Amino acid sequence: MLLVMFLVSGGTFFLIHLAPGDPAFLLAQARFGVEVTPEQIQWVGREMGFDAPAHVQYFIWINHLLDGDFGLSLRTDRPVLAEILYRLPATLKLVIAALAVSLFIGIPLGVISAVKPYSTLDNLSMFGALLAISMPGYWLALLFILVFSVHLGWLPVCGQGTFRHLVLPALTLGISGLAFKMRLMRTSMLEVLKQDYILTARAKGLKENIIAYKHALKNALLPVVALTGMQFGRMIEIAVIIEVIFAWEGIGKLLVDSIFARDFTMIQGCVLCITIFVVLGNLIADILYVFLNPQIRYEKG
Amino acid sequence: MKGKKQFLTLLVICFLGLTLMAVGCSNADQTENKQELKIAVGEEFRVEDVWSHKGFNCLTYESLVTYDKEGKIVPLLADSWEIEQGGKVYTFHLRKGIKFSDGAPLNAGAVKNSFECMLKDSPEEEKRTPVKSINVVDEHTVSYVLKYPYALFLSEMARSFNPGAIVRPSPEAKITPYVGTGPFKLDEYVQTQYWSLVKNDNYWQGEVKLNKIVFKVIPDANTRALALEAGEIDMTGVDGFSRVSAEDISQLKNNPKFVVEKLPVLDNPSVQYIVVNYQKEPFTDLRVRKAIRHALNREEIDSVLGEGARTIEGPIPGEYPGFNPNIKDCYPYDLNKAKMLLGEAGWQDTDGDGILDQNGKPFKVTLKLHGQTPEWTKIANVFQAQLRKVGIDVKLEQLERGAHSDAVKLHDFEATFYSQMQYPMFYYSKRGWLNLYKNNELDQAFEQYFSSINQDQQQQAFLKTQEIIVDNVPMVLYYQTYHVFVKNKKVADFDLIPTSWNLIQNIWRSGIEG
Repeated sequence: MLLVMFLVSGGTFFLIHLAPGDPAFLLAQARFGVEVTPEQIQWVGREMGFDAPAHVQYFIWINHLLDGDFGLSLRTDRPVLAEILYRLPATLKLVIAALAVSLFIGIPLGVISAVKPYSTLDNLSMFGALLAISMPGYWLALLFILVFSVHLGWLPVCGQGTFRHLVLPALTLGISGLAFKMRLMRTSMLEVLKQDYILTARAKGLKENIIAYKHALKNALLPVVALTGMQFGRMIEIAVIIEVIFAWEGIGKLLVDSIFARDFTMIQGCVLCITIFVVLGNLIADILYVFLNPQIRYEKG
Repeated sequence: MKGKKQFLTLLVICFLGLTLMAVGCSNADQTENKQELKIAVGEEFRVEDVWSHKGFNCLTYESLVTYDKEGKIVPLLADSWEIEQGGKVYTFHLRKGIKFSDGAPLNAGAVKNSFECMLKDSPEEEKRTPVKSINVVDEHTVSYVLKYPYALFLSEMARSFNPGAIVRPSPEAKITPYVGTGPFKLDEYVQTQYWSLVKNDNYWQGEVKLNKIVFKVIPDANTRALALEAGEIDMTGVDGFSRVSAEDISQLKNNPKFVVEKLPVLDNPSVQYIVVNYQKEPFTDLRVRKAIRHALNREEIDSVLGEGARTIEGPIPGEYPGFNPNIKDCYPYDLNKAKMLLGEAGWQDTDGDGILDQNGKPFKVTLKLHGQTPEWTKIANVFQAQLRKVGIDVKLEQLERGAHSDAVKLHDFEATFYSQMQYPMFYYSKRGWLNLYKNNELDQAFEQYFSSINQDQQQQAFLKTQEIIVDNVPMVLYYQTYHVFVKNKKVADFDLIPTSWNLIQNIWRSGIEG
């Protein structure tokens, strides 16, 4: 895991230094406004140590990092670690809520569709899934706000704070994941239901529903669980748009703003943080997979 | 059957629960008349830093002078001033009886101290500021001695942030270390979400009706408009960080609940343009540049821009003080004139493909832009289509913001969009550093403008600069963006100040009705 972090942070550092545009100029604009004077730009360049070559800057950063010092944001002068930790809970809440939406609605729907294939419910769900995957997140978000906040007045337009504020953003973020899991679950279930041991169970005389929910489900869950771990990283990526629209200040938006302003210290901090979570997400998925797996072998025996 | 039933029931209960929670506590945002105003801003820009530019500083900190409805400089904390020694000494007479929000009196000593605090907090100002020293003449008279005559000193002193804000370090101050003399004081600040101001009970100009103003951070322009419609906020468009998009403007205008006001930005006209590289062929020929201006149908471009922006004749808009009326209509839309000028410059369509050529080379231009300013994209497409009619082939190249600014700085472009920073500094080759256009005659006019102490001389020089620029056409298209301000009708009317950062300065006179 440390190796991954090192590679990713190093790669990011050099990549953003390769990006065109004078960082001192863009940073000065972010700090002082569009009408910067040449003196302000020079001051930024000196203060932020841009006169040293890139690899030297990188080692200085690593040095500070090992002391636990993430540095100050070049754009706002606030400490990087504090900024990230302040915004991290917001993004985590959003991503976890979205995952919950996609899991607790997606999986049951997928199972029901598989148990009753080609029924009305199944066809409706599949059509709904296609719609959900095709609709762009930005558009969907605004549509939800228009319907549920402006016209119906059930939910607030944007911002954070109460559970009601979480509903729309989580729904918008989770909906494509939901559709995806539903389809996958359905396919997986159908596959499993064709297996020999299911036939054996039927022959034994077990009721259809116990077969479905006790035996098939656990096995069918495997690919979905594995994929969920990988989706964690993707979620953070889509979360950026959701965060901007719903005024949900999280890591995603922070990262994008920092990239535009060439706020190097903040970019490095954010990327490191996101890397940790992506790796963690995959780790958890792997563990869950192993946890669920031995049971198959146990059953078959 | 049992398992499935259980499962389904659980699902249904979950759904019902969610819906109930959402509907049950329905939108109870109805304000009992608490005199609390909610304003949406696009960015929380260094709220804890007194000196950075923002639209609400004028509500908490005031300056010696300020702007009025017409954009003229008028007294505020100082009720009169004299300019002496050829523009190098500015002496201000302070009003008597003004107190800071913590009760301390405003006097010359406090003014001097405020400037020193500013220099301490902003080390990059040391070099830039024209101020050499400040003298406390007596309790209510303070004198600024400048290093050189600086015609823009008063407009700098009119800023409610760096360097004009008059502040006082105080233990009572919240969020920033300073208190001010303004109608409100900073109260709460929840990072990334909102900050609030409460009224200053000792405000010197009169009684403040509003008890509280909350600034909510809503980064997306569409969301701001929706929040306005849903009643979650009462006002937006108060500064450069909270623009209202052109489409939203038309929609909000038709809604009787809201008042939409369009204002020019008079202290620093928000002007942007398409500039051609006058040092590169074929734009070295003045006739070619003039031809392009004649070929542009500004009416069509204006209709594409919609509300919120419009094309203008020269580097500053008509509403700006000191606008030179002689430059109006210098380049009317005239395709024939354009073709004629291009012909004179040696461009003919010899191979009949619809594109002009000379010495075998076709007239091709690449127009650079970045995607973050919506007006640029709108204009670019029309520009391309219009120039095609006179046989110029325009290719659009969209770059990332950093790459674009690089290209502009290095003059690596044939034509590009850019924004005009402070006028007239921007064209003065000794101070401006982009030097998109350089001309000795122009520089001379600027020398005269900056160093003249006589108002008339200044005015003459200022008018001349505009004439020179328009005659030489380094920029083939100019447009200005308006400040678009939207408020809910329940907020009482108050005078809006048409400058970048003082728009809602008079909001303390307003209140929430009904």
